[in-house]
Amino acid sequence: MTSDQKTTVLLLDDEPIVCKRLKPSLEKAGYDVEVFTKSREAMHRLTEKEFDIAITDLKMDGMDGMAFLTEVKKRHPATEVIVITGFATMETAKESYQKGVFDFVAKPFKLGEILEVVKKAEAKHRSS
Amino acid sequence: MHDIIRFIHEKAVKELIHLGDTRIGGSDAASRRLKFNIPLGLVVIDIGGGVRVRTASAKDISPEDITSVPMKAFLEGLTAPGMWSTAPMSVDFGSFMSSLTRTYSDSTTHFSGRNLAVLSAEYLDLNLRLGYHFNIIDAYIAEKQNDNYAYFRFLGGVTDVTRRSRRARFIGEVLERFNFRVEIRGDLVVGRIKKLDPAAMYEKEKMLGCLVAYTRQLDVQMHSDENIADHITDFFKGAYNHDIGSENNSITSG
Repeated sequence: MTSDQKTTVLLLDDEPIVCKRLKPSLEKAGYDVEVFTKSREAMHRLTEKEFDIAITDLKMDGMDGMAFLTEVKKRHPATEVIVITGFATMETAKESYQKGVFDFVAKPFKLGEILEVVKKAEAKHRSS
Repeated sequence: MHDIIRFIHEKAVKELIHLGDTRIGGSDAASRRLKFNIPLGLVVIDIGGGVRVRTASAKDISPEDITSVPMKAFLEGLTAPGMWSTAPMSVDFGSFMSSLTRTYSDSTTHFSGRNLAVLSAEYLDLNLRLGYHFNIIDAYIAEKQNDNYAYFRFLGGVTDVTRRSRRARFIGEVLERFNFRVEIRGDLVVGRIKKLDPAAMYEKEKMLGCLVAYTRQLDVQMHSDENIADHITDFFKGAYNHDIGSENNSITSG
């Protein structure tokens, strides 16, 4: 990826309001963002495109965030995954890190908080 | 005012710790020692339903005797794999000198090795001094969600203020990932959370147990700001890594 290319972000959350609020903020910050509220559709998109960063909720209907994280890292190991969750436990944190998560952010979060983590993930992705 | 409150607190803790030693014909609230594989030197005072008493005269209890919900959660975290390091920790000369110049009141020194937990079925007030730092946890976990809360306070350390502050920032970062409202001033960290359902509160309290265990000697290893992120990863992986920031060690310390 060249430095003038936009960093691509996949956002998956079954709460439409999260996608609705986060997408414009990420785009304003200069990211190329695609949003999904259904994990099945997000998974299908992963077969077509490798994203630089994936942001996923943990607790969702259908495929949950942990399974999505596993699939992302299996298909595209270089993709940095950020988990957002309102139900953090030591067990889910441990599993996420063992599966290669970049970081996790507690819900509800301020836009500035998630943007800061995305920025760090972007820096790591560009340096790798 | 702060000094007066602190003095009253110290005296109250002293009185509570010696309750079991000084009162003849003690009641169920008498102090008992918690015996298990982590040397906390913890005296437990049950104020109602927090401990299953096998015999009224028993002076020692085990973790299995604890019925207090927040205390059970705390101990579960404290004893989680990869959190409490038993390996000797070494410190550099600067930290060694720093520890020599740190002063504590006589009463604090006197209580070295005697920590206190006041608990009931739903409540825990824990005062822990581990080496050169202090942990305070005050928590209530019951069915009524709006009554539930956890308060965590961490202060101190053996090293210079820079490394103690890095440990404080590490603690703050972990607490924030678990939705705690966090305040940090130097090496002092205060975290608060409230009004969650019992299952969620239990998880927060368990995390605090992990945090108390993991951070016990962590300031010694905080040689640079980068070490904070490294330890966040290792903390959540449940894998204490002694190699992070291990340069410049020369004098062995506890």
